[in-house]
Amino acid sequence: MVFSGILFCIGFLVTFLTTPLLARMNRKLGIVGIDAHKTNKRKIPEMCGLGVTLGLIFSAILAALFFGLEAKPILALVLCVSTAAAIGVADDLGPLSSRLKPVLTTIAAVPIVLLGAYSPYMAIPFLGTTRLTIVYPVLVIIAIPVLANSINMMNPFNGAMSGTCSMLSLAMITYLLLLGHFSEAILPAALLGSLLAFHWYNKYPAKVFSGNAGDLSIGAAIGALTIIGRIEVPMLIAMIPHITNAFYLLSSVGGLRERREMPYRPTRLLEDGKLEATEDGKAPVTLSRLILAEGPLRENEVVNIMIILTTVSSLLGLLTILFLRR
Amino acid sequence: MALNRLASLIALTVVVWLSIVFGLFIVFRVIFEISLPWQNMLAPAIIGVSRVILSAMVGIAWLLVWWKLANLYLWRKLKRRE
Repeated sequence: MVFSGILFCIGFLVTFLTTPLLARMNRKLGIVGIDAHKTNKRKIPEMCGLGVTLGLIFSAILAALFFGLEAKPILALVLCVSTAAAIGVADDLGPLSSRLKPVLTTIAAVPIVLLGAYSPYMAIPFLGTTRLTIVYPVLVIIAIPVLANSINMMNPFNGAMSGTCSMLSLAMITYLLLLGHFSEAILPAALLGSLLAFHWYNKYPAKVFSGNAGDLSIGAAIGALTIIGRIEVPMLIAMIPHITNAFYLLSSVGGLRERREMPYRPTRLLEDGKLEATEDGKAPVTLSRLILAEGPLRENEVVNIMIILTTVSSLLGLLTILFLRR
Repeated sequence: MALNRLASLIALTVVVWLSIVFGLFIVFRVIFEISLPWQNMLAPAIIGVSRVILSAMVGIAWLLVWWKLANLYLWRKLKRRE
């Protein structure tokens, strides 16, 4: 618990200090994006989610050096997160094709499989533990790109990704502590610290954007920590808003498409600054469109609903833990 | 923030949760327990392939249920708004 607290503070501090530096640097380099859901269309520095990546990697290395954590899972986590971040940077600088990005993110899963930083014994509700010796590595290769890209798709508004992922990290720590995996809870604490520091800058009205670099690396980190901590099923439940959002989006546009390849938008900005769901049958179905279907809301209100839904799904994950027979 | 809107979305989340828990139960308690009454060289392969196909079908059923529910919710709300 003490180590978790220390790493939470270190993660928070590293991200809190590096994010403004990244913002200044990216603004200078012209790596900026338009805040599409504001009437004044401000330009905001992109790729600042790398602050979270730095916070997590720095904390993970400290944990291995000074807190006596096993080196293998930490090395797997660091390699997985850095690979996903590198793919995100490539996507931010020169957009990757919608099909290439998920294929490339599978590379991020390779260190976990090669280093064997997983346990093929999976706890299933009502049934206890099941051995998946052959299937599990395949699941790891599928899970990391799915989670990384679903976190990437859940970032349409200021603070949506950072807010919901902070909730997921908190859920992860709670699950690990409840299951008695105390040493595995240290790294999610660092991730939570980093995400809360980033949320400070990314919340409505955002001063920085996470970019694909931040989204993909945070998604990969959540996936890797889930696998290392052996909390697959509860985290699958906690991520229901993210996974369903990605599934709705992909099935409504008929496969993998980049935002720029979609001519119809799920939401539109009204003159009073509120957002409204579009009625177009060809527009993608997304969680934000479902939230706005009943009537217009402000951007921060939509994000609050997303965070509440992630809290509810995290609680359902907690309930699922009660059904896990170890 | 209307509570009605939140309640409907939470209900959708709970349905997805129940479908996952039920689906996992079907996959691991029913499909993974399948065995053949005879034993020969082909039996393990047949069992393995059937387990994968049946589990995939459960997965597709999950996705279909989620998709139908989301669409039903979206278009009902949009029509009512009009």
